[in-house]
Amino acid sequence: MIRKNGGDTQLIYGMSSSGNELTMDYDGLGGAQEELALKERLAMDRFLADVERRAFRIAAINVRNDDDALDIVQDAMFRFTRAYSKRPEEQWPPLFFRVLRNRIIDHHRSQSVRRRIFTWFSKGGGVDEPDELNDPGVFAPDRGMRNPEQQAGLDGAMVALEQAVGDLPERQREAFLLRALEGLNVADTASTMGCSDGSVKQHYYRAVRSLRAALGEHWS
Amino acid sequence: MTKRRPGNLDHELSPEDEAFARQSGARLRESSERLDAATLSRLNRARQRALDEMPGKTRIGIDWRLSAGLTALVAILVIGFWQMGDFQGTEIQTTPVLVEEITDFELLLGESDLEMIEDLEFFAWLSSEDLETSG
Repeated sequence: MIRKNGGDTQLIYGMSSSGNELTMDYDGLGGAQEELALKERLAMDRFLADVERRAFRIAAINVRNDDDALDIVQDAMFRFTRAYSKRPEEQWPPLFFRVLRNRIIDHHRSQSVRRRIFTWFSKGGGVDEPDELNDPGVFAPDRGMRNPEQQAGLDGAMVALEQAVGDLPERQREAFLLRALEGLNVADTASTMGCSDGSVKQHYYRAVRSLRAALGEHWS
Repeated sequence: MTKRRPGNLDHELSPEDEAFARQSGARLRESSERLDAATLSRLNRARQRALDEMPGKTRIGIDWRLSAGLTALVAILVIGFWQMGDFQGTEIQTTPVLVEEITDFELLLGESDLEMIEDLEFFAWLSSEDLETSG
């Protein structure tokens, strides 16, 4: 619906979850180009609105810090819309989650470098090899930082599941989240992860087996 | 010849594993729908900003304004350089005046040289007169 407000024209294209109108400026350049751009924006808006919560959950499980997860999702959205909005819509899910995956990997790398630098300085110049670097837990994601409202939304089984998924090896975690949470098929998951279909099946299989073994008491 | 182990190389999940995967996926999706208001608001803002970055209508508008601004800037620079050229032309016109001043200055110097030569002649005559008088 198009609404004129004084000299400005706004397009109302939906309602948010909180009941507010979703609007965009409609500056009336006119013509087929305008219509096409509008359709593309609407399609992209629908797509991002559909995936953003699951993308946030995937990022949060991976980095275990909600603020960092929000930054990662926001950055992924920016990069995705700039680079891939002209691609056919059916290609968007694997492309978006590939961008998201790269942002998560970048985050882990930057965190690792930060920890190394911090450890080096705290040890007074790195004369000795820091013991922390030999600890596999030092490069593990940060532990959860949730406010009470967020925590209340998660029951014990859910917390245990997120914890167990976060503890999976990286490739298994990716395969499980993309297949089970996002619902991508094997081919799209392989495209997102940059590996073969067989590797996806293998990682997913191992992830499910590991999670069942770890969560048996919660999920029997 | 190696014997193939079913359920390992094929990575086929058992029905129980499949059920577990479906159940856990559904629980994760449910938790995704129960995000708090602050997180949802931030996601919504992030999405709107990302949509504004899309190439297309908005970008075309920005490009149009950007190109108009650049054209205006180029025009200002061209006019500025043109005005500077005029100003420099004025300076060139003043250069002959400076040359004339320098020439006059040299003439002045030349006159002093003549006076000095005349003075030298006078002092030479005076010294010769002194010699004749004393002699």
